[in-house]
Amino acid sequence: MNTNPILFFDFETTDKYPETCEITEIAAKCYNGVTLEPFENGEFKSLVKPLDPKFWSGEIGDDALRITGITREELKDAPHPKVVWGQFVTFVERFNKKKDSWNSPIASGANIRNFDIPIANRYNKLYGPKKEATILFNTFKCIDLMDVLFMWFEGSNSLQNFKNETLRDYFGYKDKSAHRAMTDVLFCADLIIRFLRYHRRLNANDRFKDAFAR
Amino acid sequence: MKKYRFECGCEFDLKENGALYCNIEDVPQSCPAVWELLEKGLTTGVFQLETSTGRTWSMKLKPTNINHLSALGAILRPGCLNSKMDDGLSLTEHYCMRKNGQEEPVPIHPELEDILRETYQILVYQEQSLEILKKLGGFSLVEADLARRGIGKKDSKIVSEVEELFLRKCKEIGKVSDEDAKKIFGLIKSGERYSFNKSHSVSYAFTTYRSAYQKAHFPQDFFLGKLQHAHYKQDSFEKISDLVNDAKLFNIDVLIPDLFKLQEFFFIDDKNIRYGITDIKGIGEASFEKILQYKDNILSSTSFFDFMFKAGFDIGISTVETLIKSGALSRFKTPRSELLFQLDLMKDLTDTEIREAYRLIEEKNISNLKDLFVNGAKLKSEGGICSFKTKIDIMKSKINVLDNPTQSIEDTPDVIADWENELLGIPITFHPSERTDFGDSNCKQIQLGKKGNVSLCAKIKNLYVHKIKSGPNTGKEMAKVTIEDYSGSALAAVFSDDWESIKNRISKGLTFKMKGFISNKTGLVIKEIVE
Repeated sequence: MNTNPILFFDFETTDKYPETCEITEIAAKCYNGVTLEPFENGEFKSLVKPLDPKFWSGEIGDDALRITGITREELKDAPHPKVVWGQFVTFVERFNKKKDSWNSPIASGANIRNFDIPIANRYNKLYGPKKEATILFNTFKCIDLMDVLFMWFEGSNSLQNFKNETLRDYFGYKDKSAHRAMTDVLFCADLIIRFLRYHRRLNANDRFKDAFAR
Repeated sequence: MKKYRFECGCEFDLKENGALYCNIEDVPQSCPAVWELLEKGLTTGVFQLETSTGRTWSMKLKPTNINHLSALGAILRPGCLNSKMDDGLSLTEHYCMRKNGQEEPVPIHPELEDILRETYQILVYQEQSLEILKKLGGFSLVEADLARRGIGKKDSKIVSEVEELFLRKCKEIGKVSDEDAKKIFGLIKSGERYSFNKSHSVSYAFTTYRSAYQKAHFPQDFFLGKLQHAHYKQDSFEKISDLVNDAKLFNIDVLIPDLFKLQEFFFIDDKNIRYGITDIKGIGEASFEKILQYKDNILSSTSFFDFMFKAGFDIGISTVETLIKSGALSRFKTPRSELLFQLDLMKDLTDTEIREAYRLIEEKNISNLKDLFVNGAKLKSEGGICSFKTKIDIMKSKINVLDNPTQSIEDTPDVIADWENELLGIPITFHPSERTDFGDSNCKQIQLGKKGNVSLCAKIKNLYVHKIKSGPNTGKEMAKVTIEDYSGSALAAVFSDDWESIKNRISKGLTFKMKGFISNKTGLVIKEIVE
């Protein structure tokens, strides 16, 4: 039985390139891995001030701001990334009871393996409590919504793509707004938690045991 | 001198300061309160009977004198527990049944009746073997002991030599027939596998009795001594957790540490016991000595901010963090999460910034963190505390975060329970089982003898799964569980059929709602996990 907490998180950024972008907003919500219920006080949310002069001059970032609806005005007063990242690390580590990689929370979200986790690793090196990358998330387990959806829909034509808007529409999610970090976290968490509960029901009586022996 | 009299009839001199004077070597040799304690299985911390085996057999035997206690110490050993008689029950079981009048203590042979009388016709002690060899075979005690030791070595040559000698001497003396002599020698031979030295057993029994006597009459002192001693054990947190739970049965609460009491180890705090500072995981002697260096500053602190700048930075950030999480700074009446939040914003201040902060605090009479950051977010040359411009941005960001925290800074019961479990070995302020009002029972009631159907919410503290070795369910798995709730802890079993249905749903360290029953024969048996 999984006892690691599941941490859903999302970054809004200045552009779509994980190697170089800057975070403009972080949101996270942590769930109990056993009960699949959210932890009380398990939410984190903050705007983050980009430092790249190119962002402030308008050279980069307009597309991203258009998508998220966040303004440069809001970001001007946002906290420095060092402060926010320090707070985020403290928040995540709160859920790692034994302070080791085995017990660390399972990172979860939409396309996090290719986007958010590489950004997190980069920010750890830049702003983490220690200069070397802090291992925040579980090294062995990760739940990417893209993988979950692929497993369920790869043999079907009903989902044309895995974009946020498409998924909200398909699953009949009431809140259609997307691309703010917390709304995306909540949507992703709702979806993945539902799938996890469904998996548990399917495997309730060890139905796969000795499957190859029959 | 005035006397104080307990309900059991024991009487002690009452000193002027209200303390009772008790010389443990002079206490009455048979106090009903001690026997009651042992019969109820309240043996945590009692010498020789601390384990679940000791507790179980203490409850079954119900000792009422030192002889019973001495035998209990001997029959608890694996040799005795594993030695089965013809009916498949162990010698230990038979001893208990005979002592409690549930079975007739039939002599093995009339010649052995006197020797084995005190142990209900069961060979328990090595000395009894010596007596048999002496009485029936005419051995001197020295010869008998040499023979006993030889048998004990299990050397077949020596055993057959001794047997031949015993049979020959029995024949010469003529008290028993050849056949009986052979059977009796067989008894002595098998006895070597499990019998125990009576002189040791009796002296241990006195220690057990005195240990239980202290617990029954002076529980606060008993638990204090045990807790202080547990600090030095390898599995100290396990021991402390057991003792804290057990103390609840005696209406003694063990309280969270308080930095301002400045006590190194567990100590008596009014009617309860309180954690000392070095009983917190991660705070050792060196850290405590450092704390003592700043004793006056600590005691004069009026707020967390004040404390940090008077002593906190010198004591060390990680020590302060540990103190916060364990509740040792509860005197500031601020949620622990909020204190950690503030600490998080202070912890990356450099030594230079801290020095400059001291200056600013004095100059402008600053009493809180926000004012420090507001006044400090300037270059040093401008009266602030920042060495360069980036630091100004960072400090201003901290003001922003103080006004708009990135996460909740309220304490939640689960978080407090987790921190205390990690740092103190057991949740004290809040137990996860208190989240629900499910159930009609709690662990304390179970420990104190509740019977029948029960339902409760409890944490799985320990879980031991093993395969059944005999009987109709041989090979199937069952589980022994230690459960814990806000009132204490209790032992439980999950039998094989029920274990099959719940084993994939439970895990050590987690809290569940459960149903079961308690009987005299089985103790608490968990039948169902509700959720």
